[in-house]
Amino acid sequence: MNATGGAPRTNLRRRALLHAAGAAVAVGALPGSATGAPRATGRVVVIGGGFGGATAAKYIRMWSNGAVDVTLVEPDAEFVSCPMSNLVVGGSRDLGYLTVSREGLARRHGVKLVRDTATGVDPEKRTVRLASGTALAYDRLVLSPGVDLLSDQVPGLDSVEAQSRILHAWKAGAQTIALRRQLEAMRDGGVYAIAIPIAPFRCPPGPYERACQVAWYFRRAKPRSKVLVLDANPDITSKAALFRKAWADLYGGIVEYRPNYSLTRVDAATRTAEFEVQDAVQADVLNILPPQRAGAIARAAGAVTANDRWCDVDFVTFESVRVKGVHVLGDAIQTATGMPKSGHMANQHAKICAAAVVALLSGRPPNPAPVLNNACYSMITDRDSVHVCSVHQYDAEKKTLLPVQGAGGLSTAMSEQEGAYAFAWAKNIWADALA
Amino acid sequence: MNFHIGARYHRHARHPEQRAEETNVTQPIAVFAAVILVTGGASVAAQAGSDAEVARSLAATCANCHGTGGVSQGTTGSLSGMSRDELVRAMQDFKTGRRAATIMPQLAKGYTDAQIEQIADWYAAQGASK
Repeated sequence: MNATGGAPRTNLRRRALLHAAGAAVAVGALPGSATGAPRATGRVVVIGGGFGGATAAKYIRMWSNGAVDVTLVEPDAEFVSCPMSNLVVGGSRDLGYLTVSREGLARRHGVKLVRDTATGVDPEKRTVRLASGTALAYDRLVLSPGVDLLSDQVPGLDSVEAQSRILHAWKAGAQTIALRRQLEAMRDGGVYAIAIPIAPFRCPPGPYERACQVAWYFRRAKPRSKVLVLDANPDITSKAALFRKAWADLYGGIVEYRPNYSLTRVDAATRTAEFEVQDAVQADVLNILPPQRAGAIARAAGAVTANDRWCDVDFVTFESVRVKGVHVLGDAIQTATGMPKSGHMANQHAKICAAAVVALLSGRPPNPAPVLNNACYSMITDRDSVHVCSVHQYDAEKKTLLPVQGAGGLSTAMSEQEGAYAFAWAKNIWADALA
Repeated sequence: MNFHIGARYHRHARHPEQRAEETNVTQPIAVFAAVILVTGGASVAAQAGSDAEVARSLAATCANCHGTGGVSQGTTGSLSGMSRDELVRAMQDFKTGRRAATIMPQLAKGYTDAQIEQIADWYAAQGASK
Protein backbone atom coordinates (compact mmCIF):
# COMPACT_ATOMS: atom_id res chain seq x y z
CA MET A 1 0.00 0.00 0.00
CA ASN A 2 1.61 3.22 -1.15
CA ALA A 3 0.94 5.95 1.32
CA THR A 4 3.95 8.17 1.14
CA GLY A 5 3.71 10.00 -2.19
CA GLY A 6 2.28 13.32 -1.04
CA ALA A 7 3.70 13.43 2.44
CA PRO A 8 6.38 16.08 1.97
CA ARG A 9 3.90 18.55 0.53
CA THR A 10 1.50 17.86 3.37
CA ASN A 11 4.12 18.36 6.00
CA LEU A 12 5.50 21.51 4.49
CA ARG A 13 2.07 22.97 4.49
CA ARG A 14 1.44 21.95 8.06
CA ARG A 15 4.81 23.20 9.22
CA ALA A 16 4.05 26.54 7.68
CA LEU A 17 0.78 26.60 9.54
CA LEU A 18 2.58 25.76 12.74
CA HIS A 19 4.95 28.64 12.36
CA ALA A 20 2.05 30.89 11.51
CA ALA A 21 0.46 29.86 14.77
CA GLY A 22 3.61 30.67 16.64
CA ALA A 23 4.07 27.15 17.92
CA ALA A 24 7.60 26.14 18.78
CA VAL A 25 8.86 23.33 16.57
CA ALA A 26 12.21 21.86 17.49
CA VAL A 27 12.84 20.55 13.98
CA GLY A 28 16.39 19.42 14.56
CA ALA A 29 15.38 17.01 17.28
CA LEU A 30 12.49 15.42 15.43
CA PRO A 31 12.90 11.76 14.55
CA GLY A 32 13.67 11.24 10.89
CA SER A 33 14.84 14.80 10.25
CA ALA A 34 18.32 13.66 9.29
CA THR A 35 17.04 11.33 6.60
CA GLY A 36 14.49 13.66 5.07
CA ALA A 37 11.70 11.26 6.05
CA PRO A 38 8.27 12.74 6.77
CA ARG A 39 8.31 14.82 9.92
CA ALA A 40 5.68 15.14 12.55
CA THR A 41 3.85 18.42 12.54
CA GLY A 42 4.17 18.83 16.23
CA ARG A 43 5.14 17.04 19.37
CA VAL A 44 2.81 16.31 22.22
CA VAL A 45 3.93 14.80 25.51
CA VAL A 46 1.23 13.24 27.67
CA ILE A 47 1.92 12.65 31.35
CA GLY A 48 -0.14 9.84 32.89
CA GLY A 49 -1.61 6.78 31.19
CA GLY A 50 -5.01 6.56 32.90
CA PHE A 51 -8.46 7.27 31.51
CA GLY A 52 -7.51 10.84 30.57
CA GLY A 53 -3.93 10.50 29.36
CA ALA A 54 -4.30 7.25 27.42
CA THR A 55 -7.41 8.53 25.66
CA ALA A 56 -5.73 11.83 24.80
CA ALA A 57 -2.65 10.07 23.40
CA LYS A 58 -4.75 7.74 21.26
CA TYR A 59 -7.15 10.37 19.95
CA ILE A 60 -4.42 12.91 19.12
CA ARG A 61 -2.73 10.23 17.01
CA MET A 62 -6.03 9.17 15.47
CA TRP A 63 -7.41 12.63 14.75
CA SER A 64 -4.12 13.90 13.33
CA ASN A 65 -3.92 10.76 11.19
CA GLY A 66 -0.59 10.02 12.76
CA ALA A 67 0.85 13.44 11.89
CA VAL A 68 1.36 14.58 15.47
CA ASP A 69 4.12 12.85 17.40
CA VAL A 70 2.82 11.66 20.79
CA THR A 71 4.91 10.42 23.71
CA LEU A 72 3.10 9.01 26.75
CA VAL A 73 5.04 9.05 30.02
CA GLU A 74 3.75 6.58 32.59
CA PRO A 75 5.69 4.62 35.20
CA ASP A 76 3.41 1.55 35.36
CA ALA A 77 3.50 -1.04 32.59
CA GLU A 78 -0.18 -1.85 32.84
CA PHE A 79 -3.36 0.10 33.33
CA VAL A 80 -5.42 -1.04 36.33
CA SER A 81 -8.95 0.39 36.36
CA CYS A 82 -10.32 2.05 39.47
CA PRO A 83 -13.89 1.69 38.14
CA MET A 84 -14.94 -1.91 38.88
CA SER A 85 -12.12 -2.31 41.44
CA ASN A 86 -14.67 -2.46 44.28
CA LEU A 87 -15.69 -5.83 42.82
CA VAL A 88 -12.18 -7.06 43.64
CA VAL A 89 -12.58 -5.73 47.20
CA GLY A 90 -15.90 -7.61 47.38
CA GLY A 91 -14.33 -10.75 45.94
CA SER A 92 -16.46 -11.33 42.84
CA ARG A 93 -13.68 -10.36 40.39
CA ASP A 94 -9.89 -10.50 40.42
CA LEU A 95 -7.32 -7.86 39.59
CA GLY A 96 -6.69 -9.41 36.17
CA TYR A 97 -10.19 -8.34 35.17
CA LEU A 98 -9.24 -4.69 35.78
CA THR A 99 -5.86 -4.87 34.07
CA VAL A 100 -5.29 -3.69 30.50
CA SER A 101 -1.99 -3.49 28.61
CA ARG A 102 -0.92 -0.12 27.22
CA GLU A 103 0.80 -1.83 24.29
CA GLY A 104 -2.16 -1.21 21.98
CA LEU A 105 -1.40 2.51 22.14
CA ALA A 106 2.03 1.83 20.65
CA ARG A 107 1.13 -1.00 18.31
CA ARG A 108 -2.11 0.32 16.86
CA HIS A 109 -1.66 4.05 17.24
CA GLY A 110 2.06 4.76 17.17
CA VAL A 111 2.15 6.36 20.61
CA LYS A 112 5.68 6.31 22.03
CA LEU A 113 5.50 4.74 25.48
CA VAL A 114 8.08 5.91 27.99
CA ARG A 115 8.09 4.20 31.39
CA ASP A 116 9.20 7.02 33.60
CA THR A 117 7.89 9.68 35.97
CA ALA A 118 7.67 13.36 35.10
CA THR A 119 9.30 15.51 37.77
CA GLY A 120 9.31 19.03 36.36
CA VAL A 121 8.10 21.29 33.57
CA ASP A 122 9.76 24.31 31.99
CA PRO A 123 6.87 26.08 30.27
CA GLU A 124 9.20 28.70 28.70
CA LYS A 125 11.51 26.20 27.02
CA ARG A 126 8.60 23.77 26.62
CA THR A 127 10.41 20.81 28.10
CA VAL A 128 9.39 18.24 30.69
CA ARG A 129 11.97 16.59 32.93
CA LEU A 130 11.76 12.91 33.81
CA ALA A 131 13.04 11.06 36.88
CA SER A 132 15.59 9.25 34.71
CA GLY A 133 17.19 12.62 33.91
CA THR A 134 15.87 12.80 30.34
CA ALA A 135 14.16 15.95 29.13
CA LEU A 136 11.42 15.79 26.51
CA ALA A 137 10.59 18.77 24.30
CA TYR A 138 6.97 19.48 23.48
CA ASP A 139 4.80 21.83 21.49
CA ARG A 140 1.89 20.98 23.77
CA LEU A 141 1.97 19.15 27.08
CA VAL A 142 -1.01 17.19 28.42
CA LEU A 143 -1.05 16.47 32.14
CA SER A 144 -3.40 13.75 33.31
CA PRO A 145 -1.80 12.95 36.65
CA GLY A 146 -4.88 11.91 38.60
CA VAL A 147 -4.90 12.65 42.30
CA ASP A 148 -2.29 12.48 45.01
CA LEU A 149 -3.64 10.93 48.19
CA LEU A 150 -2.59 13.10 51.13
CA SER A 151 -2.17 10.37 53.74
CA ASP A 152 0.69 12.37 55.25
CA GLN A 153 -1.77 15.11 56.19
CA VAL A 154 -3.80 12.73 58.37
CA PRO A 155 -2.29 12.71 61.88
CA GLY A 156 -1.27 9.16 62.69
CA LEU A 157 -1.17 8.13 59.04
CA ASP A 158 2.05 9.99 58.30
CA SER A 159 4.37 6.99 58.35
CA VAL A 160 5.06 4.16 55.94
CA GLU A 161 4.21 1.65 58.63
CA ALA A 162 0.83 3.23 59.39
CA GLN A 163 0.04 3.43 55.69
CA SER A 164 0.80 -0.26 55.26
CA ARG A 165 -1.73 -1.13 57.99
CA ILE A 166 -4.45 1.40 57.20
CA LEU A 167 -5.16 1.24 53.49
CA HIS A 168 -6.95 3.55 51.07
CA ALA A 169 -7.22 1.22 48.03
CA TRP A 170 -8.23 4.38 46.12
CA LYS A 171 -5.76 3.65 43.35
CA ALA A 172 -6.41 0.20 41.93
CA GLY A 173 -3.58 -2.30 42.22
CA ALA A 174 -1.57 -3.62 45.16
CA GLN A 175 -3.73 -1.79 47.74
CA THR A 176 -6.91 -3.25 46.25
CA ILE A 177 -5.58 -6.77 46.79
CA ALA A 178 -4.23 -5.90 50.23
CA LEU A 179 -7.62 -4.58 51.37
CA ARG A 180 -9.29 -7.72 50.04
CA ARG A 181 -6.83 -9.82 52.12
CA GLN A 182 -7.61 -7.81 55.26
CA LEU A 183 -11.32 -8.52 54.75
CA GLU A 184 -10.68 -12.21 54.14
CA ALA A 185 -8.59 -12.42 57.30
CA MET A 186 -11.22 -10.63 59.40
CA ARG A 187 -13.28 -12.67 61.88
CA ASP A 188 -17.03 -13.03 61.41
CA GLY A 189 -18.62 -10.47 63.69
CA GLY A 190 -15.90 -7.92 62.94
CA VAL A 191 -16.28 -4.31 61.83
CA TYR A 192 -15.10 -2.82 58.53
CA ALA A 193 -15.10 0.99 58.69
CA ILE A 194 -14.52 3.35 55.78
CA ALA A 195 -13.81 7.06 56.37
CA ILE A 196 -14.70 9.47 53.55
CA PRO A 197 -13.15 12.94 53.16
CA ILE A 198 -14.99 16.17 52.36
CA ALA A 199 -15.86 16.39 48.65
CA PRO A 200 -14.47 16.84 46.05
CA PHE A 201 -12.62 13.55 45.82
CA ARG A 202 -12.04 10.97 43.10
CA CYS A 203 -15.20 9.03 42.24
CA PRO A 204 -18.00 10.51 44.39
CA PRO A 205 -20.15 7.31 44.53
CA GLY A 206 -17.11 5.04 44.97
CA PRO A 207 -17.04 4.85 48.78
CA TYR A 208 -20.72 3.94 48.95
CA GLU A 209 -20.31 1.35 46.20
CA ARG A 210 -17.46 -0.10 48.23
CA ALA A 211 -19.74 -0.32 51.26
CA CYS A 212 -22.18 -2.32 49.10
CA GLN A 213 -19.47 -4.67 47.85
CA VAL A 214 -18.04 -5.34 51.32
CA ALA A 215 -21.59 -5.89 52.61
CA TRP A 216 -22.24 -8.27 49.70
CA TYR A 217 -19.22 -10.28 50.81
CA PHE A 218 -20.16 -10.18 54.50
CA ARG A 219 -23.74 -11.26 53.81
CA ARG A 220 -22.48 -14.41 52.13
CA ALA A 221 -19.33 -15.20 54.10
CA LYS A 222 -19.40 -13.32 57.43
CA PRO A 223 -23.04 -12.46 58.15
CA ARG A 224 -22.48 -11.23 61.72
CA SER A 225 -20.08 -8.52 60.53
CA LYS A 226 -20.74 -4.79 60.09
CA VAL A 227 -19.91 -2.10 57.54
CA LEU A 228 -19.60 1.37 59.07
CA VAL A 229 -19.61 4.32 56.64
CA LEU A 230 -18.08 7.34 58.38
CA ASP A 231 -18.65 10.30 56.07
CA ALA A 232 -17.17 13.77 56.60
CA ASN A 233 -19.92 15.07 54.29
CA PRO A 234 -23.41 15.93 55.56
CA ASP A 235 -24.96 13.29 53.27
CA ILE A 236 -24.10 10.61 50.72
CA THR A 237 -22.44 12.59 47.91
CA SER A 238 -23.87 10.66 44.94
CA LYS A 239 -26.88 8.39 44.20
CA ALA A 240 -27.95 8.86 47.83
CA ALA A 241 -31.49 7.45 47.59
CA LEU A 242 -30.34 4.44 45.59
CA PHE A 243 -27.60 3.56 48.06
CA ARG A 244 -29.93 4.07 51.03
CA LYS A 245 -32.45 1.73 49.46
CA ALA A 246 -29.80 -0.91 48.74
CA TRP A 247 -28.53 -0.75 52.31
CA ALA A 248 -32.07 -1.06 53.70
CA ASP A 249 -33.32 -3.76 51.31
CA LEU A 250 -30.24 -5.91 50.77
CA TYR A 251 -27.81 -5.12 53.53
CA GLY A 252 -30.08 -4.31 56.50
CA GLY A 253 -28.26 -4.92 59.77
CA ILE A 254 -24.91 -4.88 57.99
CA VAL A 255 -24.38 -1.31 56.67
CA GLU A 256 -24.65 1.68 58.98
CA TYR A 257 -24.23 5.18 57.55
CA ARG A 258 -23.04 8.07 59.74
CA PRO A 259 -22.79 11.61 58.23
CA ASN A 260 -20.67 14.54 59.48
CA TYR A 261 -17.83 12.35 60.69
CA SER A 262 -14.82 14.61 60.30
CA LEU A 263 -11.62 12.61 60.81
CA THR A 264 -8.97 14.17 63.05
CA ARG A 265 -6.53 11.36 63.81
CA VAL A 266 -5.82 7.70 63.21
CA ASP A 267 -4.19 5.19 65.54
CA ALA A 268 -2.84 2.63 63.12
CA ALA A 269 -1.77 0.16 65.82
CA THR A 270 -5.29 -0.23 67.22
CA ARG A 271 -7.08 0.61 63.95
CA THR A 272 -8.91 3.45 65.61
CA ALA A 273 -10.25 6.57 63.92
CA GLU A 274 -10.85 9.75 65.92
CA PHE A 275 -13.33 12.46 64.94
CA GLU A 276 -13.92 16.13 65.59
CA VAL A 277 -17.24 15.65 67.37
CA GLN A 278 -18.13 11.99 67.78
CA ASP A 279 -16.56 9.18 69.79
CA ALA A 280 -13.63 7.32 68.28
CA VAL A 281 -14.36 4.20 66.23
CA GLN A 282 -12.27 1.07 66.56
CA ALA A 283 -12.49 -1.33 63.60
CA ASP A 284 -11.13 -4.71 62.58
CA VAL A 285 -10.47 -3.38 59.09
CA LEU A 286 -10.06 0.40 58.88
CA ASN A 287 -10.12 1.92 55.38
CA ILE A 288 -9.25 5.63 55.24
CA LEU A 289 -9.76 7.69 52.10
CA PRO A 290 -7.36 10.60 52.57
CA PRO A 291 -7.96 14.12 51.27
CA GLN A 292 -6.81 14.55 47.68
CA ARG A 293 -5.34 17.04 45.27
CA ALA A 294 -4.04 17.16 41.70
CA GLY A 295 -1.04 14.91 41.05
CA ALA A 296 2.38 16.36 41.91
CA ILE A 297 3.44 17.16 38.34
CA ALA A 298 0.51 19.58 37.99
CA ARG A 299 1.86 21.45 40.99
CA ALA A 300 5.41 21.32 39.63
CA ALA A 301 4.15 22.79 36.35
CA GLY A 302 2.51 25.67 38.23
CA ALA A 303 -0.95 24.66 37.01
CA VAL A 304 -2.58 24.32 40.45
CA THR A 305 -4.80 27.38 40.82
CA ALA A 306 -7.87 26.43 42.88
CA ASN A 307 -7.78 25.96 46.66
CA ASP A 308 -4.15 24.93 46.40
CA ARG A 309 -5.51 21.62 45.11
CA TRP A 310 -6.90 21.65 41.58
CA CYS A 311 -6.13 23.09 38.14
CA ASP A 312 -8.43 25.62 36.49
CA VAL A 313 -8.67 25.03 32.74
CA ASP A 314 -10.24 26.66 29.70
CA PHE A 315 -13.00 24.17 28.88
CA VAL A 316 -12.69 24.77 25.11
CA THR A 317 -9.17 23.32 25.08
CA PHE A 318 -8.51 22.06 28.62
CA GLU A 319 -5.44 24.31 28.58
CA SER A 320 -4.36 25.55 31.98
CA VAL A 321 -5.62 29.08 32.62
CA ARG A 322 -2.20 29.90 34.03
CA VAL A 323 0.44 27.90 32.11
CA LYS A 324 0.29 28.30 28.33
CA GLY A 325 0.86 25.18 26.27
CA VAL A 326 -0.01 22.91 29.20
CA HIS A 327 -3.36 21.10 29.19
CA VAL A 328 -4.78 19.35 32.26
CA LEU A 329 -7.33 16.51 32.24
CA GLY A 330 -9.27 14.27 34.55
CA ASP A 331 -9.44 14.26 38.33
CA ALA A 332 -6.75 16.96 38.56
CA ILE A 333 -8.93 19.77 37.22
CA GLN A 334 -11.16 22.19 39.05
CA THR A 335 -14.45 20.94 37.66
CA ALA A 336 -17.41 23.03 36.59
CA THR A 337 -20.88 22.57 38.08
CA GLY A 338 -22.06 18.97 38.22
CA MET A 339 -18.89 17.47 36.77
CA PRO A 340 -17.71 14.60 38.97
CA LYS A 341 -14.12 13.39 39.14
CA SER A 342 -14.73 10.19 37.19
CA GLY A 343 -12.89 8.03 34.67
CA HIS A 344 -15.68 8.59 32.18
CA MET A 345 -15.30 12.35 32.53
CA ALA A 346 -11.52 12.12 32.15
CA ASN A 347 -12.04 10.21 28.89
CA GLN A 348 -14.41 12.92 27.67
CA HIS A 349 -12.06 15.73 28.74
CA ALA A 350 -9.36 13.95 26.74
CA LYS A 351 -11.37 13.96 23.53
CA ILE A 352 -12.17 17.68 23.76
CA CYS A 353 -8.49 18.30 24.48
CA ALA A 354 -7.31 16.01 21.65
CA ALA A 355 -9.51 17.75 19.08
CA ALA A 356 -8.32 21.16 20.32
CA VAL A 357 -4.64 20.18 20.32
CA VAL A 358 -4.85 18.81 16.76
CA ALA A 359 -6.63 21.96 15.61
CA LEU A 360 -4.15 24.28 17.35
CA LEU A 361 -1.15 22.40 15.95
CA SER A 362 -2.67 22.86 12.50
CA GLY A 363 -3.09 26.58 13.01
CA ARG A 364 -6.87 26.34 13.18
CA PRO A 365 -9.17 27.46 15.98
CA PRO A 366 -10.56 24.76 18.29
CA ASN A 367 -14.23 23.76 18.30
CA PRO A 368 -15.85 26.66 20.20
CA ALA A 369 -18.79 24.58 21.49
CA PRO A 370 -17.56 21.36 23.10
CA VAL A 371 -20.01 18.85 24.60
CA LEU A 372 -19.37 16.07 27.05
CA ASN A 373 -21.35 13.58 29.05
CA ASN A 374 -20.94 11.48 32.16
CA ALA A 375 -22.24 7.98 32.74
CA CYS A 376 -21.38 6.33 36.00
CA TYR A 377 -22.49 2.89 37.14
CA SER A 378 -22.19 1.69 40.73
CA MET A 379 -22.32 -2.02 41.45
CA ILE A 380 -24.77 -2.82 44.25
CA THR A 381 -24.19 -6.60 44.16
CA ASP A 382 -21.88 -8.69 41.97
CA ARG A 383 -24.31 -8.19 39.08
CA ASP A 384 -26.85 -5.45 39.85
CA SER A 385 -26.06 -1.84 39.16
CA VAL A 386 -27.43 1.71 39.29
CA HIS A 387 -26.38 4.73 37.24
CA VAL A 388 -26.16 8.49 37.29
CA CYS A 389 -25.61 10.45 34.08
CA SER A 390 -25.46 13.99 32.74
CA VAL A 391 -24.74 15.95 29.56
CA HIS A 392 -22.75 19.20 29.63
CA GLN A 393 -22.69 21.85 26.89
CA TYR A 394 -20.29 24.77 26.66
CA ASP A 395 -21.80 28.15 27.48
CA ALA A 396 -19.85 30.75 25.51
CA GLU A 397 -21.10 33.66 27.61
CA LYS A 398 -20.25 32.09 30.95
CA LYS A 399 -17.16 30.42 29.46
CA THR A 400 -17.87 27.14 31.18
CA LEU A 401 -19.48 23.75 30.69
CA LEU A 402 -22.99 23.62 32.10
CA PRO A 403 -25.19 20.58 32.72
CA VAL A 404 -28.18 20.56 30.36
CA GLN A 405 -31.30 21.16 32.42
CA GLY A 406 -33.87 18.38 32.07
CA ALA A 407 -31.26 15.92 30.83
CA GLY A 408 -29.37 13.34 32.83
CA GLY A 409 -30.63 11.55 35.89
CA LEU A 410 -30.52 8.41 37.96
CA SER A 411 -31.75 4.82 37.77
CA THR A 412 -35.26 4.29 39.05
CA ALA A 413 -34.06 1.08 40.70
CA MET A 414 -31.07 -1.25 40.59
CA SER A 415 -31.22 -4.00 37.99
CA GLU A 416 -29.26 -6.81 36.46
CA GLN A 417 -29.81 -5.17 33.07
CA GLU A 418 -27.94 -2.10 34.27
CA GLY A 419 -25.29 -4.42 35.66
CA ALA A 420 -24.81 -5.79 32.15
CA TYR A 421 -24.56 -2.21 30.86
CA ALA A 422 -21.97 -1.45 33.53
CA PHE A 423 -19.76 -4.35 32.40
CA ALA A 424 -20.23 -3.32 28.76
CA TRP A 425 -19.33 0.27 29.70
CA ALA A 426 -16.11 -0.96 31.32
CA LYS A 427 -15.14 -3.07 28.34
CA ASN A 428 -15.81 -0.24 25.91
CA ILE A 429 -14.15 2.56 27.84
CA TRP A 430 -11.05 0.49 28.53
CA ALA A 431 -10.81 -0.20 24.80
CA ASP A 432 -11.67 3.41 23.90
CA ALA A 433 -8.77 4.61 26.06
CA LEU A 434 -6.19 1.89 25.45
CA ALA A 435 -6.89 -0.28 22.41
CA MET B 1 13.76 4.83 26.95
CA ASN B 2 11.40 3.04 24.62
CA PHE B 3 10.91 4.95 21.40
CA HIS B 4 9.26 2.14 19.54
CA ILE B 5 7.01 3.61 16.87
CA GLY B 6 3.96 1.55 16.08
CA ALA B 7 2.15 1.26 12.79
CA ARG B 8 1.23 4.62 11.33
CA TYR B 9 -2.29 5.46 10.44
CA HIS B 10 -1.98 5.32 6.71
CA ARG B 11 -1.41 1.58 6.98
CA HIS B 12 -4.78 1.23 8.66
CA ALA B 13 -6.80 2.45 5.76
CA ARG B 14 -9.99 0.96 7.12
CA HIS B 15 -9.71 2.54 10.52
CA PRO B 16 -13.16 3.89 11.35
CA GLU B 17 -11.97 7.34 12.40
CA GLN B 18 -10.13 7.81 9.17
CA ARG B 19 -13.04 6.62 7.10
CA ALA B 20 -15.18 9.25 8.74
CA GLU B 21 -13.03 12.09 7.60
CA GLU B 22 -12.94 10.73 4.10
CA THR B 23 -16.66 10.50 3.77
CA ASN B 24 -17.00 14.18 4.33
CA VAL B 25 -15.07 15.02 1.22
CA THR B 26 -15.73 12.11 -1.12
CA GLN B 27 -18.49 9.87 -2.35
CA PRO B 28 -18.74 6.62 -0.45
CA ILE B 29 -17.54 4.44 -3.32
CA ALA B 30 -14.36 6.44 -3.67
CA VAL B 31 -13.61 6.36 0.03
CA PHE B 32 -11.47 3.29 0.30
CA ALA B 33 -9.31 4.24 -2.66
CA ALA B 34 -8.96 7.77 -1.37
CA VAL B 35 -7.73 6.60 1.99
CA ILE B 36 -5.06 4.56 0.29
CA LEU B 37 -3.92 7.40 -1.94
CA VAL B 38 -4.05 10.31 0.44
CA THR B 39 -0.84 10.37 2.35
CA GLY B 40 -0.75 10.13 6.06
CA GLY B 41 -4.25 11.51 6.05
CA ALA B 42 -3.01 14.86 7.29
CA SER B 43 -4.19 16.81 4.28
CA VAL B 44 -7.62 15.30 4.68
CA ALA B 45 -7.90 16.61 8.20
CA ALA B 46 -6.91 20.06 6.97
CA GLN B 47 -9.46 19.98 4.17
CA ALA B 48 -12.30 18.59 6.22
CA GLY B 49 -14.12 21.62 7.49
CA SER B 50 -14.69 22.37 11.11
CA ASP B 51 -18.25 21.03 10.77
CA ALA B 52 -16.83 17.59 10.15
CA GLU B 53 -14.61 17.89 13.19
CA VAL B 54 -17.46 19.06 15.37
CA ALA B 55 -19.51 16.05 14.23
CA ARG B 56 -16.58 13.75 14.92
CA SER B 57 -16.18 15.16 18.43
CA LEU B 58 -19.91 14.91 19.13
CA ALA B 59 -19.92 11.29 17.96
CA ALA B 60 -16.90 10.56 20.15
CA THR B 61 -18.95 11.40 23.25
CA CYS B 62 -20.85 8.13 22.60
CA ALA B 63 -17.70 5.98 22.38
CA ASN B 64 -17.28 5.33 26.12
CA CYS B 65 -20.26 2.96 26.01
CA HIS B 66 -20.59 2.23 22.28
CA GLY B 67 -16.92 1.80 21.34
CA THR B 68 -14.35 3.85 19.46
CA GLY B 69 -15.88 4.82 16.12
CA GLY B 70 -19.11 3.21 17.30
CA VAL B 71 -17.72 -0.34 17.13
CA SER B 72 -18.85 -1.80 20.44
CA GLN B 73 -16.70 -4.27 22.36
CA GLY B 74 -19.48 -5.22 24.74
CA THR B 75 -23.19 -5.92 24.74
CA THR B 76 -23.97 -2.25 24.08
CA GLY B 77 -25.08 -1.79 20.47
CA SER B 78 -22.63 -0.70 17.79
CA LEU B 79 -23.49 2.64 16.19
CA SER B 80 -21.05 2.34 13.30
CA GLY B 81 -22.92 2.00 10.04
CA MET B 82 -26.39 2.58 11.50
CA SER B 83 -28.45 4.46 8.96
CA ARG B 84 -28.94 8.14 9.58
CA ASP B 85 -32.71 7.78 9.84
CA GLU B 86 -32.51 4.86 12.23
CA LEU B 87 -30.17 6.68 14.62
CA VAL B 88 -32.09 9.97 14.48
CA ARG B 89 -35.37 8.14 15.11
CA ALA B 90 -33.91 6.20 18.03
CA MET B 91 -32.48 9.32 19.65
CA GLN B 92 -35.68 11.31 19.10
CA ASP B 93 -37.76 8.46 20.52
CA PHE B 94 -35.53 8.44 23.61
CA LYS B 95 -35.61 12.22 23.82
CA THR B 96 -39.38 12.54 23.59
CA GLY B 97 -40.11 9.55 25.81
CA ARG B 98 -41.67 7.41 23.07
CA ARG B 99 -39.06 4.76 23.76
CA ALA B 100 -38.36 3.64 27.31
CA ALA B 101 -34.88 2.70 28.47
CA THR B 102 -32.64 3.11 31.50
CA ILE B 103 -30.01 5.68 30.56
CA MET B 104 -30.53 6.73 26.94
CA PRO B 105 -33.65 8.87 27.46
CA GLN B 106 -31.67 10.89 30.02
CA LEU B 107 -28.64 11.29 27.74
CA ALA B 108 -30.62 11.97 24.55
CA LYS B 109 -32.27 14.97 26.21
CA GLY B 110 -28.84 16.57 26.55
CA TYR B 111 -28.26 16.89 22.81
CA THR B 112 -29.95 19.37 20.46
CA ASP B 113 -31.82 18.09 17.41
CA ALA B 114 -29.07 19.48 15.20
CA GLN B 115 -26.39 17.68 17.24
CA ILE B 116 -28.33 14.41 17.00
CA GLU B 117 -28.39 14.80 13.21
CA GLN B 118 -24.65 15.51 13.13
CA ILE B 119 -23.98 12.41 15.24
CA ALA B 120 -26.25 10.28 13.03
CA ASP B 121 -24.57 11.55 9.85
CA TRP B 122 -21.17 10.74 11.26
CA TYR B 123 -22.03 7.17 12.31
CA ALA B 124 -23.91 6.48 9.07
CA ALA B 125 -20.76 7.52 7.19
CA GLN B 126 -18.77 4.88 9.08
CA GLY B 127 -20.80 2.16 7.37
CA ALA B 128 -20.63 3.74 3.93
CA SER B 129 -17.12 2.51 3.25
CA LYS B 130 -17.52 -0.97 4.74
